[in-house]
Amino acid sequence: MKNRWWNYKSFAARLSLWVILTVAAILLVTAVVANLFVRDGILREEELRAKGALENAEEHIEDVFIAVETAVKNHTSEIKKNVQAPHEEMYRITREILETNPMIVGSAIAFEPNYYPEEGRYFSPYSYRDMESKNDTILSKQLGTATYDYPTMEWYQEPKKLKRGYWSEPYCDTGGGEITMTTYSYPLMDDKGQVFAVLTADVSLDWLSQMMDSLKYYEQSYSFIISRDGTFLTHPSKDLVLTENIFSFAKKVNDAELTELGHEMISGKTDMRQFKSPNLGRSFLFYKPIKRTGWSVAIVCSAEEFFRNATQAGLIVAIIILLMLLVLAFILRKGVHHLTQPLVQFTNAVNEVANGNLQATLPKVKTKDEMMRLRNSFITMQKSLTQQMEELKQVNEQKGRIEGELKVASNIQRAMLPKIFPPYPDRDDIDIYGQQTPAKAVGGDLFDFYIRDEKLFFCIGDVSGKGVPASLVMAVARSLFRTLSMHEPHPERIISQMNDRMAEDNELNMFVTLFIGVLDLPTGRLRYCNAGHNAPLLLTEYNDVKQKVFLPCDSNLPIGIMGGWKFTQQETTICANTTLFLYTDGLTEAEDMDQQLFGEERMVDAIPFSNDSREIINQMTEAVDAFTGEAEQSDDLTMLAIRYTKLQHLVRFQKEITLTNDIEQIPQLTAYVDAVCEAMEFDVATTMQMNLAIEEAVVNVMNYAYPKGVQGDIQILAQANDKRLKFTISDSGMPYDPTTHQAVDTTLSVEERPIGGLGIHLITQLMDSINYERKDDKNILTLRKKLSSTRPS
Amino acid sequence: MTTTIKEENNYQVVYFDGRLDTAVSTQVQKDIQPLVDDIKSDVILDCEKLQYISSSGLRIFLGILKNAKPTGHHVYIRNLSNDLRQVFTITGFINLFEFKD
Repeated sequence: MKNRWWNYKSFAARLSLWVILTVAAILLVTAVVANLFVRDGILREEELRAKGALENAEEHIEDVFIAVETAVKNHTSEIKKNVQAPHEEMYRITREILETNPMIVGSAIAFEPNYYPEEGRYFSPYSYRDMESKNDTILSKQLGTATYDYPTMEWYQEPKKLKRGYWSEPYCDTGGGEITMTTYSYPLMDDKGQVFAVLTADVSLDWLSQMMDSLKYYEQSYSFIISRDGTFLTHPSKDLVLTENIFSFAKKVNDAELTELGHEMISGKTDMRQFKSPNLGRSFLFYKPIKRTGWSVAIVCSAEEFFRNATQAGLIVAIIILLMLLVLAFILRKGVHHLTQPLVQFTNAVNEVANGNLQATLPKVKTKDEMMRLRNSFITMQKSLTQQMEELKQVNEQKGRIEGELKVASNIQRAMLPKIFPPYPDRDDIDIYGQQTPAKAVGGDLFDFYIRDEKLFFCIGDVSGKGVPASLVMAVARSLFRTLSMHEPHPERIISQMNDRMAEDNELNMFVTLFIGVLDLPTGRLRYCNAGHNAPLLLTEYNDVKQKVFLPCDSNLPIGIMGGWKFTQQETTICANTTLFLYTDGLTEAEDMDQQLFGEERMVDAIPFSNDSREIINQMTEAVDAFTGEAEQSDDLTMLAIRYTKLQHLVRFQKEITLTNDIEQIPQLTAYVDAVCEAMEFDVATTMQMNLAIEEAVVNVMNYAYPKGVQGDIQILAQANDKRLKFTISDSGMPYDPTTHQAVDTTLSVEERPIGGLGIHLITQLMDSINYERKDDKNILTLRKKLSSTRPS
Repeated sequence: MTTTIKEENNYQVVYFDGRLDTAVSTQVQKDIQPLVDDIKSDVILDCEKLQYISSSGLRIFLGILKNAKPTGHHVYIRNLSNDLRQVFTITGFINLFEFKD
């Protein structure tokens, strides 16, 4: 469980976080908007309430002032009436004024100076309430003295000047305790309209403070009144009352806003204003003028207190939101975790699959939603992976098998090529070296050679294309060469037959350029046929003159293209110490890095004169390797060098006999052969074999060379040097080549075994070589027997 | 070259003496023709004194064998020299005949 829930990388955690954040944002916005509305509502309501309170206060103040004014005005006529009466009357009237209105704490009738000459300059009867007595005692005295020059005072001057009632600015009376007072002065005029006295009523303003205190409807709210000039008439801070005015106070606390407020208040406006109170902080101030006096009443409420309920409600809402979010988080944690649980299991399953267990168990999903689709996809993936792995395995196995088979094919193909060099270590008339470098694992080039009947059969060819198909065709071509040349000494015929065979069923249009040569080793006569292959190069040395020439070749089609094509055969005789260099176009068309071809010119320049055919090929290989450098070999490269060093054998022994075509002459033949064999010091068995072979050959001639009844000669010449014994049997009969007879199958049963054909079989078995030639209208059959192995040491 | 046919212990025995070459093969063929025409028992070809045999001679041997086969009789070769045995080997005749030494 650790960190799983709050791990931000977890899908469940992120999903939950986003949901919670979104819900929280919505709730927050809702709460803020609701709170704003609530506050606005509260403000309106409070404004109305404050206005009502202010109106009440104004009404109350008006009532008091109207009552005072009425009391004063009601006594003016009585004063006028009693002007001439004793002066005691005036005191009585002032007392009466106090008695009629308890709000009035003092009243004076201040006469013009010297109005009553008998009274002196000042006469002002004055009654006042004794504040120190408990029983509301009214005392009287004459107010005017030389030190109290009332006619110069504001309360006297102003009504006289205005000729109407005048309320003085409130002031602090220090006479009997500190009382805030205001005085209403009313001018008394005679019939001529001359002011002869001013009637005054002093009103205590203590009740104002009490009244204003009753306006307090919040614990921390307060109210105050300022006068016309801004002086505080009431204020919770008593120090301010009458000693400060709002402007001087604003200056003191350096509050421009307060100054502005003061101006607005004394200008008689009714309004509400927000301001920052020094002791309450952010506050609301409601104010209203009192028209009669020009005062302004204000109520100040702390915003904090004002909105306390709203703030509390907001807090509660916030707590509820928080709790709801916690509950939501818990539900999401459970719900999302439950929903995404399969994902965790899928993850485990994928890890298992990645580790190679394709059959990993998948979580069970019951809901038919994305999870089910995911599961189905997983199942499909598992199946497809399993199938693909299986296929891959098969492909790999197949590939391995094919590679193995290719290797076998390559081995088989190499095995077809001559690979033992020098091939004829006991011969000193011929030196051969061949080499093939396939471009791919198996190649399409072929070369072959073998000696039959003292003739060297050799070929070199190039199958169109490369790789396995080419190698198969190459194998076919090589087999055909071996099979067909076994009984056919003419290259042209071998090639024609190969061409016919390969042209049949050649659906892929594969073809082979092929050069076949048959070198008669005793004579150096070379018969050859070139089917579209590169002309071989001849390196001749004659009397120290060395030459490099191409063997002239007729242009023939490559084999396999068109059956029945007439190939032309060419013939030449090569001298001793001549090297025949055969190659495929892999040599002349070898490319270097710049795709330049090696070419015939470079080849001719590079090829050396040497007594060793291997040396020639090796130097050629070095030359072409140096040319191509790092470039990849693009085609099979095959080279074959045949160096002919004809031996000038010394004839050590020679014996000749001429017979007619008569069987009865066999004993003479036997005697002749016996004589030769005796000269060769053959043992009895070998002598008998020689007899058998020569007799068979001669009987063949006797039976078939001449028509029945025609007599003809048969010449038999035996020649021997240190190495071999050679019989040359010649006749002038019809062309007849006994070597083309089908070989006898010595494994057949009695019934199947033909009576004939044994003779030629015996000859080939008993002699080392048999060679037929038609020359100068003669059949010439040459039989050779090596001496080294047969002679007793 | 002489060819003698004798009956011994229910065998027809042919004794060859000398060189059986092509020159004499016609004569030898004639000499054994009675035997070839009427094989009534197993045949033994005795080669003790046979010095030489050519393919014509081998053909005569093969002829006897071919005629004997349908009659169900055997043809045996006796006392063949090593030199001649080599000829039989080369030609594969050694597989055709039964040898009685």
